[in-house]
Amino acid sequence: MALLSRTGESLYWIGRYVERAENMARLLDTGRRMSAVPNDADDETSEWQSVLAGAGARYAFDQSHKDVTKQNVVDFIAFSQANPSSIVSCIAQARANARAIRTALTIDMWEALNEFWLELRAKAPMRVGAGELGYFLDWVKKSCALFRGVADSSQLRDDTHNFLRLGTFVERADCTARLLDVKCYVFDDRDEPVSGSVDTFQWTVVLRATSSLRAYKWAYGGGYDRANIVEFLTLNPYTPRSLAFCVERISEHLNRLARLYAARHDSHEICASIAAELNASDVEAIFEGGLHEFLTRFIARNNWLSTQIARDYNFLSAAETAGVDIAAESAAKPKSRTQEQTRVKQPLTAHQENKSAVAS
Amino acid sequence: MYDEMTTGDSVRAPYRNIKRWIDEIGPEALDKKRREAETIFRKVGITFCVYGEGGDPERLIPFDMIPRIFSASEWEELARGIEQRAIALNKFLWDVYHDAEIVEAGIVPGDLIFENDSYQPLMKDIDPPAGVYSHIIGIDIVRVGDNDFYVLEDNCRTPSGVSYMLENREIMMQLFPDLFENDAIEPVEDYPSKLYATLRSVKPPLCEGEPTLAILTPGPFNSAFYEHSFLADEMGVELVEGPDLYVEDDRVYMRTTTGPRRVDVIYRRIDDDYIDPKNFRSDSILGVPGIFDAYRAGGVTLVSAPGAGIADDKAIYTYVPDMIRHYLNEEPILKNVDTWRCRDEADRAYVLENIADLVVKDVHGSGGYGLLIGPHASDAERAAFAKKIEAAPERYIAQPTLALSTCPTLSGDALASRHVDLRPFALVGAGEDGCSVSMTPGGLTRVALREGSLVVNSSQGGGVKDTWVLNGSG
Repeated sequence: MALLSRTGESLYWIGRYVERAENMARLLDTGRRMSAVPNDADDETSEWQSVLAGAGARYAFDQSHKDVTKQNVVDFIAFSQANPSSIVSCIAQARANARAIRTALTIDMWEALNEFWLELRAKAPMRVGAGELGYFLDWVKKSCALFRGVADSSQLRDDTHNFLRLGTFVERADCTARLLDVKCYVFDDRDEPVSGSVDTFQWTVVLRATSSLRAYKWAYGGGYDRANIVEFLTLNPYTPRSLAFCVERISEHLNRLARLYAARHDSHEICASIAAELNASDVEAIFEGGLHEFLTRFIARNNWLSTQIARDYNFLSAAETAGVDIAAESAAKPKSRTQEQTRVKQPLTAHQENKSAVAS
Repeated sequence: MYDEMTTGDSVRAPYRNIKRWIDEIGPEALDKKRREAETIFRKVGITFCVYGEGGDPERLIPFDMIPRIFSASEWEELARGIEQRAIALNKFLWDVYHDAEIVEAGIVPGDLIFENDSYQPLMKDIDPPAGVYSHIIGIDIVRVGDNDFYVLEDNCRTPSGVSYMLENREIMMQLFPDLFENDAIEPVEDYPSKLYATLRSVKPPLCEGEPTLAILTPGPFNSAFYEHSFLADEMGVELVEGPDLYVEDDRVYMRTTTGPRRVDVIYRRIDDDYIDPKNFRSDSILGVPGIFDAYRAGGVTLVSAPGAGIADDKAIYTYVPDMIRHYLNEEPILKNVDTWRCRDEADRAYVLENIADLVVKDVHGSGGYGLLIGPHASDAERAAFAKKIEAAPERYIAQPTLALSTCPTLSGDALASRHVDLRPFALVGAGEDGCSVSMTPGGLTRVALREGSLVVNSSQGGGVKDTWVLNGSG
């Protein structure tokens, strides 16, 4: 049993894009909440700044917008076609991939994604205000959840499912790491803030953005603790959005592919080494080495894993870039805090970029 | 004007039940059902793509709920005529790529074949499995009276529309299950398995054992992409794009997640020019370099064969009745439309004289483009077309404007008469002695939705109807 490489690649990117769209919605939701809380005068702008940073879109945003206002940021993160990671772009790309390989999806999956896209097209772009943003973001999250749900309930547990879920969890790990990284400064501060302070509020924002405020309280009892929150989102194997959890799922799906195809590859080794590193770590050590440094290294290694998956399963984009070696280890060196890490997008093959030339 | 449903005051036999049904249900309810159908089409994604015209590139083909119906005996006659034509066209293709006897015999002028862009010199002396060049033939047929059918054109390359034939039926059965209750209508749903059997029957000489099939598509931007993906799904074969394939040692392989996998029969929905940048157009990014070499070596079967288009060329069309007589020693069952060839001086004079009454076609045009419908054109348009004819007479043929039959069609919330044609699909595969034809009872009925219009092409605002063939009792 095997899949066309292009099919595997498209499934992987459908998984990534739908997950990314959902995370963009969560991120915007944190901005919406923050801006609803009376803070210092500058805070609103800085909150939307940090939404942009969390989306990895600060640089791209500056190219097309002057002011960091709520409307501009929402437009850019939710609806902009110039932003390849906007909700609209993500769903459009997921749907384009799905259309190209629709025979590899179940009817339920295709219909969930196609309807999502059709409705999104009808809604976008929208004016922020009149309280509609919250409903819109909820709807995006629900639509993503619906797609995830029908995939779980209708897809054969064969390679199609494994590629889809590899994409989901590689992307989710990336998103959690970036989100934490944006809020690094509130966690890095060694002086424990008093409860009810802005810092505590910032922490709860991170938990909300990962839909895990309640879960955190169940896991660690009441009260917000810097170390607990960081552990919860990085090393805790029970948190469905933690790095450790995501890596465990990636490893599980890679192992299933290995059994299915009776072949192990470099990506299995890389994944095992990432998992081992997380396993050996504890939250004290993370703070000692610097949270930002820890997250930057994770993001780079996660990207490296993604590239290797593409090579091991003959993704067409990997075939075209073969020989162009990415310096994975050097990329794993921490970047400075001001330096933005742009999000990885699906590498288009020359074929896809030139498709305007069509025959009958 | 011949109406499919009524002659004078009486309803023709095949339409009796449906007429009763239409009267019962009423046009308003039908219009509501039509909207339901459109929602389903959108949801499932049954669209065709038009790029470069602005607006939504993914469009729905308007679906008309009122079926077009043939009696068993009408269909039997049509089917015999189509089979005869499909075999003759393939024999013609074999002949022109071997000794061209038909030219020797003085039946078809050689220059019309050998100087034609659709003639593929590289195909000379290649022997495709079972001698079949064109495996899926869509023959466009119009009706002008009782038992009075004409073939408008043959489509021997990669005719599209069969997915609509299947989906139209599917949606009719979904919306109006009662209509299908007493099994009076011949099913069409086994088309994909017949297509599978046809493709399987023409496996290449180098393939031992069970062949692996695939459909090769130009990709999601192609207007018929939905159909490509639908057929792949229905047959359970891979839908591949050019970059998914490569050629090594005269065999063709797909790139898969576990490495290469051989493909033996490729139903390609890419034009000849684009299929192999090594042998044909070098700027093609849709094709597979070297695939023609593999074909020539017997490592893969291409369906249809490169160069099959010479058989459906509009200039060759006029000779099809002669081909049938020549190769099969039979009289043609289906009629050709009278055709004037502008390359002949006498014909050209006649065409220029009578342009107001004729349909003039560019022999290289398709999809309703490059066409003048004399009676509907303005003086200026006719004059402009006359100039084109004089400049390049060999490019044009002319035919009388046929009074295409009409079929009741929903227009807003009322019924109106609209012109229709029919594209049935013939499958040609390997049989016990040479090639054999299999047919699915029905086809795609296209309907010109604008009042009075004779252009049924989907790219020009045409719609589609479900096409019924009643079984023996009907």
